Amino acid sequence: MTTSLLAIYAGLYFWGVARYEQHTRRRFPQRFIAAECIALVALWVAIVALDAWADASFAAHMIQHVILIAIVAPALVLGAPLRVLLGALPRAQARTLARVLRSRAVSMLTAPPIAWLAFIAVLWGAHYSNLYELALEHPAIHIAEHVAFLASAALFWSHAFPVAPLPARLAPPARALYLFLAGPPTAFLGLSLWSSHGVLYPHYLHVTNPFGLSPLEDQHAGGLVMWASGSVMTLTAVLAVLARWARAERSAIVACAVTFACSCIATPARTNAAIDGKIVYAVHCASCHGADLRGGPDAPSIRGVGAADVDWWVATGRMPAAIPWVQQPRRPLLLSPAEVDAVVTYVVSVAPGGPPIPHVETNGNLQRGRELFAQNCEHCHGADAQGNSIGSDYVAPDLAAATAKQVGEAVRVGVGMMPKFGERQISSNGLNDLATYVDWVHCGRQTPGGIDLSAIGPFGEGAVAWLVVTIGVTGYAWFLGTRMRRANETKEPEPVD
Amino acid sequence: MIVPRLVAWADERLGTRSFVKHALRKAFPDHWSFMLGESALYALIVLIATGIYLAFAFNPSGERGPYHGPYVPLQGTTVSGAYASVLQISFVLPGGLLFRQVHHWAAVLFVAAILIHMTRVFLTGAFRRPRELNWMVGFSLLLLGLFEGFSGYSMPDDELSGTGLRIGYSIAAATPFIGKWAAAFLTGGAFDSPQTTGRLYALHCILGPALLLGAIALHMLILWRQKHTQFRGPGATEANVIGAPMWPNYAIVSLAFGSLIATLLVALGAFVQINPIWQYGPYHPWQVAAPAQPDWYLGWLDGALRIFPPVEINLAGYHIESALLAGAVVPGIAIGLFLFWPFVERAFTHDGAVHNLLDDPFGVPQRTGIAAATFTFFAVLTFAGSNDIQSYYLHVPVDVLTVAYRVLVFVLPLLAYLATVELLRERTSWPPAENEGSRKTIVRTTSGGFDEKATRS
Amino acid sequence: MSERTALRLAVGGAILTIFSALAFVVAFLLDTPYYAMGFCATLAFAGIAVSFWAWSTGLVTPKRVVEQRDVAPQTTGAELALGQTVVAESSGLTRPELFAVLSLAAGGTLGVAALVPLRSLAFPPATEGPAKPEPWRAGVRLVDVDGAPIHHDWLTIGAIGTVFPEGAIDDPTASVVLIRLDPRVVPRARRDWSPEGYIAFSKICTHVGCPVALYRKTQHELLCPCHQSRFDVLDGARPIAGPASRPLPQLALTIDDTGVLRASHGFLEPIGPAAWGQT
Repeated sequence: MTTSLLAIYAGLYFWGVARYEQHTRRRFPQRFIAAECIALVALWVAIVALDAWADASFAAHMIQHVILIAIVAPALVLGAPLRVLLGALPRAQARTLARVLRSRAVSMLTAPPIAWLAFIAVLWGAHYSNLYELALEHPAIHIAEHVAFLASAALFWSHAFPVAPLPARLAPPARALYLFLAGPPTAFLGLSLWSSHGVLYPHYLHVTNPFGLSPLEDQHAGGLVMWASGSVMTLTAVLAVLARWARAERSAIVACAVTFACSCIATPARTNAAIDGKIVYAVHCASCHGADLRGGPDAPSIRGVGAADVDWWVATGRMPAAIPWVQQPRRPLLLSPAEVDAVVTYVVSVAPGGPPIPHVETNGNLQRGRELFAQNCEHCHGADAQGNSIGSDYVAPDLAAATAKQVGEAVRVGVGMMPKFGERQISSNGLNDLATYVDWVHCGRQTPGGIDLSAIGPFGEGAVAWLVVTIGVTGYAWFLGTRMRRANETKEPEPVD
Repeated sequence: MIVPRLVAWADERLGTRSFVKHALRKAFPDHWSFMLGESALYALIVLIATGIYLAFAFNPSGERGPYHGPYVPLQGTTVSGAYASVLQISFVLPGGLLFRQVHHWAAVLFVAAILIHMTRVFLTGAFRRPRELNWMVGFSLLLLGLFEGFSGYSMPDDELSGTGLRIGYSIAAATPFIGKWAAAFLTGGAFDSPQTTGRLYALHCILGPALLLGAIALHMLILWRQKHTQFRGPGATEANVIGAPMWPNYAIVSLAFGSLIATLLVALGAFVQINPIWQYGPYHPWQVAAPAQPDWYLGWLDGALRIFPPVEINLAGYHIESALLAGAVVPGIAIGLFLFWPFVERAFTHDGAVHNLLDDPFGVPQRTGIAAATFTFFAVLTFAGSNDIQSYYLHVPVDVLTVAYRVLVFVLPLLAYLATVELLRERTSWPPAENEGSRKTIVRTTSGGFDEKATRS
Repeated sequence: MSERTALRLAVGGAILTIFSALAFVVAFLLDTPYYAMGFCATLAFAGIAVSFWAWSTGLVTPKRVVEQRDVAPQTTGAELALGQTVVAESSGLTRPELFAVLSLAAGGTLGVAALVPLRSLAFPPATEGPAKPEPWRAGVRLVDVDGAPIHHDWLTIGAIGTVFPEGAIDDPTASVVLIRLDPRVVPRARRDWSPEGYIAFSKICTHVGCPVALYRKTQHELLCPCHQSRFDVLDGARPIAGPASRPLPQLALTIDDTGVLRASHGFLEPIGPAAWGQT
């Protein structure tokens, strides 16, 4: 369907160009047509060709969005479709359209700060709320999301490369600054995704990744794509603007600005280690835990702790740890899954004992699991398993990325500050039920109502209410009241009685 | 054709023509800040409209039974009738969740709107004679709003609100002398009795709205009788009111405003989740979910309870703890100060004259400074109420935050007051004739430069 | 805004409202999800909002009116005048002062008497019967939420659970946290209260009564989530942080011959937050 829509649009565009040349008796610049074609082709590649991959991989989805924002949107703007429209319409309608485009309302709505804010807001809002997850589940919302990306990006780029008939609103240095300032928010978003500890979009926990990455690694890759592409995109755009300006102004300041505008992009390195458990241990663990597993000043003894304990710490990325004796957060794995298994086997073989890795399934009783969660877990981990502080600087982490096996391990071992729940207190069936509920909370649960404000609770809801009241309600009162006063000011007051 | 005849029929019997003519031409000062009180009124209309629907659908029963409904994790679990009925509203009744969410969003907006209106009245000195009574009625409306909100979100008997009810019960029980009866009246005997929901229902749906509507009627009546205040301006005196006529000018603007508020509330109710009680689960007095916060308008109380140091005083045989001080004494003092503020201010300013003209907030540095300090004080307390959430997201130890808030709750309001007074002292209020500040004259010196000479007017 | 634009917006808004309201009804009848109905309702109200705004901006002639206030009320003269007016109008009443006094006395007493039955709303007759026995007494068995007795192997070392007195599971102040410590770290004072490392405290926080459910195993600290009070389990649940000032009352435990945990005796301190008048 997208292909046919694109074909229709292409057809209309070329027909419009023909009408434009007929009405204005001028050639429509070739480069604009080329830009529009590039836009349409890139759009087709992004939406149609990459679609299957985008559903299964966050990184691929990110590439899709990057194409939309960094290639399709600017190319669409450079193709000057509005100019074509103005030229193609009959005179009266063209005049009305021109008047609308020049009106105060439109210029207010498309002002550079609004365009910039809208672009950043759509970008952040789509990724840091459950809109992304909703979009993956509902095609209608997904289409709306892509339209929003395209529209906000097109508006953003319309100030970077002003093309008639919209007036150029920013002088070249302002344009460069406008583009440059868009760099940090996109980079920051990408960076936060790249270094995130938990999987943000549970949809990816249930699909097979076509590149063989784990959901967290996939998310990190997507963040890296965003970071890198955002930097490259902004840098290129700023350089293009400065180059044009330099050609026009030939100022030395431009040269300095170009140097200033160079941002650095760093890429992380990934290490590879051998699969022998003893060597893995020696490389990553022995420096703190000792060659004999007895620990030392930087780490406790791990003799006899059990396979479940070691597996939990290493498979969640908490170990190897850089800083000793603090509460370790979940981190991207430094070791491959094979290395994790190898080191677990090695540690248990050297000093046997402790609880084994429990076998936990997610086919248990959901109701019993909810009860167990409410009795034993929600006071620390939160009713949504979203994590919370447990006093001082310790937290009970959010359980979004916890697999059923990890839930079982944590419960049976009593990792870190967690209490240790034995067989008599929570049976193995109970553990299955618990894991089923934890899994359900993050994937496919019933929680209608809309955007869930990250389950912060009444504090978040109050913040939204205040935002709406102070900006929406008070702002509108100011808007209406000042209009009324301005209209009334010149009138002589008539006596009432 | 029919409508004019019906209207004429009524008018013949009630003689309303002259009153209506007078009413339609009433002068409404056309400054935008006069519309803020209406925002609360429109939020209340939405609350009542959605509340009536919910009152029919809600079952105020504390009787427990197994849940049989579409929310899977709770199927078969023993829940109270009240909780089950709210699940029914949210998951089964068509549009039920929409009504419920719009109602709750309207409630949180209602209190914010009252606060903004109250701030405007305070900053402009509209509470001075002869409007002291109306100020007290208005502040009582705020208290009623807080109570309605608390009782409203406690009705579903879910884990989060039940925890709040427990805290409220304990504070009531600790109140001097009337404690035992106040606490027992609220819950119908002991805590977690089956009559609690019924009590809350009667209080929230019958007594509360009756008092609210009565107080609003009184508020509007006094306003009508005393007429609005107005800002200084050309032609404005203490003895008149200039503004747009009620009909059609002001009424249409007000309807535009009200319909936007309704749009915002319905949009919030449709697209932003609020109070997902199914996630919290039914209330058990021995279970709790973290984080545990009340709705924002009671966040200051929770913050006060959190940061108040653990004191224990034995006074004349009575045992006083921090819960009583933070939960009853400090709020009691605050409420007393707010309620009787017109008289408190008069004790300092010795200004007992009638004021129908408003002050420019920038021209009365002390009062504006007090407003800034009060706002900051309650804002710090509100933020202190969610110190555990901040600790989790900002990676700061919760103990550090608690100590920081204990300091900030004194320092920040003081700073706010001083900063406001300092910043505003230099500004002069308008018009200059009323201004008691100094005028400045620019003179040309003999050496050719310019110099300022301050002269008293 | 020109009159023509305003008219177009006003009519457009009204048409939007009409269609959206009808769509809302259709959405309701078709039992669509709440957000579909919400979307239609939002559009309906938005239509009215646009319509009224357009009307107020472009189709209302600006006008100002000036109203005169009543003469500023006199100070003391007014009160006397009001009082004198009432007195003057009551001239047809013989002995008006006696009337006032009798009305006040009789009506006042009757009014106060009528309010007294409200007392039973606070204390219904059933609760004023013979006092119920204390839920935690010597020999009472510890049970879990389903009523099953707690055996001495229920918790592993380092675990925590919630227990209740047998026969009074529904008592809102009777819940107890049961922790199993390593017997070597059980505090020496009251060691006989903690058989096999089991130690029990009232779960009701002594601050304002929330359940103290969080447990930090390695520091042996109980934490209340409501206002962040922390209690040291190895020191009789003494509060070490936060606004609570009294320790959680400890329950003395014993293990009977069948291996079931029982209370040795009831709590020695009052449970939960201090009510007024409690010493």
